[in-house]
Amino acid sequence: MRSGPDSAPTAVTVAGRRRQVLAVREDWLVQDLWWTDDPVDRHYYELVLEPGRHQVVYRDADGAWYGHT
Amino acid sequence: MCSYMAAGAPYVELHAHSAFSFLDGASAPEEMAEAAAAMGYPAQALTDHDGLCGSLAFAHAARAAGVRPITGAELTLRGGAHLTLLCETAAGYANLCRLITLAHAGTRPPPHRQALPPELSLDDLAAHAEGLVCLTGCARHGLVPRLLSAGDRRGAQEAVERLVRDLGRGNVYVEIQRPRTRGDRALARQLAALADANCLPAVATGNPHAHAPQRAFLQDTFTAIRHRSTLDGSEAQRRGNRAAVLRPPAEMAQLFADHPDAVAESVRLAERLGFDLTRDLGYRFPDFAGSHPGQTAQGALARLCGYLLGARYTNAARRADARRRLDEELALIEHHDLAGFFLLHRDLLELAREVAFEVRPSASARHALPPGRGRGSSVGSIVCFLTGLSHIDPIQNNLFLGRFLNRDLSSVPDIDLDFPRDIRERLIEEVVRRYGAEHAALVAAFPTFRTRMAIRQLGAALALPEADLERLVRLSDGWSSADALEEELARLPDGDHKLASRRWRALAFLAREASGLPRHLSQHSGGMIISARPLVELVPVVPAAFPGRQICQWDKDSCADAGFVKIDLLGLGMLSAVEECVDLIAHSRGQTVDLSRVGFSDPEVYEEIQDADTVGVFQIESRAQMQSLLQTRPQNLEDLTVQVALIRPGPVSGGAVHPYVRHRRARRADPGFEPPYDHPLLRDCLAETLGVVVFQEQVLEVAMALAGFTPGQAEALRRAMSRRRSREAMLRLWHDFLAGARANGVDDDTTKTVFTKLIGFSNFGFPKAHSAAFAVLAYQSAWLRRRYPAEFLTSLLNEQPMGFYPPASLVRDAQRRGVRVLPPCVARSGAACTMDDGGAVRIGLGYVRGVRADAAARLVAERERGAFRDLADLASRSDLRRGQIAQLVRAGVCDGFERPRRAMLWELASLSRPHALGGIGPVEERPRQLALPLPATPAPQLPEPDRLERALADYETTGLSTGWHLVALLRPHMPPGTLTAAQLREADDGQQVTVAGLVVARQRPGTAKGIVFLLLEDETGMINGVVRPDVYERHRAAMRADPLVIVSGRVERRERNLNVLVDEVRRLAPSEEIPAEETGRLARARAAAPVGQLYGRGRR
Repeated sequence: MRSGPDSAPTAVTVAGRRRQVLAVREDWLVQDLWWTDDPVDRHYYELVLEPGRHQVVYRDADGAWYGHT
Repeated sequence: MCSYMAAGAPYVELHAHSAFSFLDGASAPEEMAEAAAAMGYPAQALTDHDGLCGSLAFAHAARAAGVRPITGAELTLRGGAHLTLLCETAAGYANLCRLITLAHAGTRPPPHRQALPPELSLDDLAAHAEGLVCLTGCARHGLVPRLLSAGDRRGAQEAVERLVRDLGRGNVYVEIQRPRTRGDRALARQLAALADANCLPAVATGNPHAHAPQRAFLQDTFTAIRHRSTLDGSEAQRRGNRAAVLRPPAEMAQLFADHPDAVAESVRLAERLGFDLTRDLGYRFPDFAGSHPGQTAQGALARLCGYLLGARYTNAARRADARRRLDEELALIEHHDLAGFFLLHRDLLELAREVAFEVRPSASARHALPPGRGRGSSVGSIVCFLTGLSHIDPIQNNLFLGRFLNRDLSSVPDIDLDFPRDIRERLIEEVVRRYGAEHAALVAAFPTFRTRMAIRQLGAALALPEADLERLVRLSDGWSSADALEEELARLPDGDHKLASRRWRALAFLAREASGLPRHLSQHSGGMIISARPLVELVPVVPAAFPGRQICQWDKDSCADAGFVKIDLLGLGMLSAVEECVDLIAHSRGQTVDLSRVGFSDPEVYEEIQDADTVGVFQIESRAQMQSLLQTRPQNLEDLTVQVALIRPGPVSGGAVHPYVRHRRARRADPGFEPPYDHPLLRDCLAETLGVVVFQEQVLEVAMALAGFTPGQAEALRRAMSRRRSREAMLRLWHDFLAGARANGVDDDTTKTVFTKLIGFSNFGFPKAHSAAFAVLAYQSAWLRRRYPAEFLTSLLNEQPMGFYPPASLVRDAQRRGVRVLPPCVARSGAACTMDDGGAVRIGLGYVRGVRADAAARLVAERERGAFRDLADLASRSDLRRGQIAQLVRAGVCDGFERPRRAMLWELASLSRPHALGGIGPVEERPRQLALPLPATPAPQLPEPDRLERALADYETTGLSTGWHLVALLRPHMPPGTLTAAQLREADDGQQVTVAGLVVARQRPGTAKGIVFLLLEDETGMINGVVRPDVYERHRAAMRADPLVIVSGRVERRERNLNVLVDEVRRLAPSEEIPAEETGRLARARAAAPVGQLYGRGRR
């Protein structure tokens, strides 16, 4: 995963192949369950990757990136 | 380019909520304004849901912080969709107020007036659209976004067209938001396209619900509470992130990078919205000269007062003094154009007189009494005295005017009027009727999240166990600040475990964050606003829960900031009690008591006051007052006037009490004693209080005498000290004070000493005028208590809740003074307490818990048709539920049927009886219960309750006992040698003692450095305990929650005061050899004991 100056991803490696991000279609925040022992703090991105494939990824509060199926 | 843009602001927030959106906003308006200023916003809007409750506070805070306030609201339409409305002009503001008023008009439908959510029709909006700018609503619930989200493009298009048609093309903006939820970018793109298609501007808004990210947690919790759910259960309603908080303009511009025009439009629109609530409200001072045709208000007032002056002051010398004072006041009234204000109050008093004639039966001894009395600083005014607004002669009592009226007055003065409760209830309705629903309303009050409410509601949202929360609530006992919750948790037996839990830690955090935020709109205790211009164009007005009442959306501070004339119509329980007492005396003894003629010099009354025998007496009954009375020993009304004001936080923290007591003692020993003054210049203004500052006016008089302040400057000093003090403002005043004192030749050390005392006094004291008014009522109540103790007790019991003592203590005190008090009886009692044959007090049926006053009244009405023969007869003829009748039996009300209580309860359970059919309407119009054809099943042999059980039943069912005192019956459970209050009075100074009693009051005055005063009662009297902080900490559980305690300590005798310096407090618990059954009875006793009062605040 590589991200730009606004923290949005610019390139993603999917199944071992590196793909450029063509556009960010949506991005949203999920910050919930803060009152429990398993709080959630994620920044989601719905990306358009070359060549037109959609992929949802998120970055958690520690800065780690995860793909979303 | 507009000026904000030129100043470099890329974005202005035009849609924001504060906590005045009630559970949909988590920051105070002031916090929103200050945060906006810190982020560099040039302007900012506040758009709370369906209201302007926080708008004026926000506008003033924003102005002070250098942010231009924009006024608006987010209105809920019929069907639930939202629209954002912003005020461009004063006409727009007036329309917004009307629209909000209309939206709330149907929120309290009869007959039960259960609250419904507000809703506005689009037709109403169309009719009141002038001067308003409309945004199409928030992303989630907005009229247009909601339709688009649902895929209804056509509906969205039609909605936009309708808004353009109703409001005009230039006044509709398509609102775009980015709540950072999935799909928000797509929705924003659709909205921008819709705007383009309709040639409408799109505008970006942030919809923040908090001023800072940490409040987003509270916002989540509020959402759960609002939906009566938990955080876990309200996922669908919550936002799911912490994005709805105020963000800096540049960050917002970045968020809307795809819509730069919409961002720029926010700045252009802000520039256009020129209405400023702090400047453009347009309130007109009412001129109530209508009843004086052909005269100006000033002329009418002067004529009226001149005429009344001649009638009131027949002595020529006194009349000349009064004339001078009247001329001075009339000149000030003319200077400030306040004549209409005084005429309005006079008009109201006349209205009150008409109401009083209706409320008080013509045969009543109350019939001739004045309808109400003045209180507060207005009692110092001769105009108020002459026009009947005060009953205290300011000339005779040498009352200072400057606190009420002076040349530099910056706001409208207050005239507070006290009324008996029944008159006040009707008067509030009559005022609305007289001046019109569009012109008069009650002032709002906003209950805030305090510790107990916070623990219960926030804790429930966190799904914490209810039993644990209630345990915490009990421990919090009203002293705790929200900040202290974490400390409280740590002290619990399982505190470590709780604090390790994220949910419990969240509770402590949330309680702290919620502290002080408004929870909902309520009504002020009696403040009313009356306006010449329709009030509904100045502030929205909403119906109250109480029929016939309506409330404006501003509290007393906002009303004062708006310059509204506020009239305080206060209900004073003691005034009601005194009037009822006069009536009872007339009925029971055939004597007419004219309180205006009894004078103020009865030596027997002063003897009781000097002995602190004042339980139930207005203002001088508290534990602290009693201890002071023993030392100050008031001898006349002037002394009582000082006494009423002396035991207040101001004189206490200003260091006035001990010197005053010392000087009184010296004056008693030597009538020629001259008290010391900090400076000779203070002799005149402090002579009557023996050299110390006791009254509020004296703060002004001292500043005028020592530092040469004008009355206006001095009042500014008092106000600066009383409100939240600004360091800079106080420093400025100190420099003026110092300079003025130097000019008068006062040395700097003395100036500093005096100034420090004034600051210590702050505002927490009474004006002398107010004290004088209250001293009169204090004396009258003491006189009635002395002369007519039974009637006085009856009236006190009927006016509860009021005063320092619970009914159980009032009854005990009266019994110790020889009053016979009889238990409630089905054959003799009225609904209220009454005078029985032989001068005894009969407890009313309304005192039985679970039997409401109206049900008790119906029972009495039914009895008037024929006495109840037995329980079956009562059950068949009354409309009481079985549980209520059982409660009557347990309370001993049915003992007159001469059947054992347990047998009656058995029989009651076996009676078959149809459900009550009535309950509404007069008893004779309701379907009657049929007499039961079959006798109840005979009860088996059941053991009779013993004394303790009967006493417990008394406390459980009525909160008091006329027979055995609970403490007397529990003596077997006390350690040997436990003294009674009577025995304690014989103990020596320094003696180690153990005493026990019911906790009547726990007090922790803020001025007492953590000391708690414990007032106990046993069967022989009261006991004062003084508990040091370390002792308190050691015995927290018993100190804070137990109603029955055993106390050990050392006797301290100081002059006429007797205290126990407590070193141990423990609950009244059974000794080990006591059978389990007794343990259960003790637990029952604790549960049944009257709840002690809690006074004072602090971090405990």
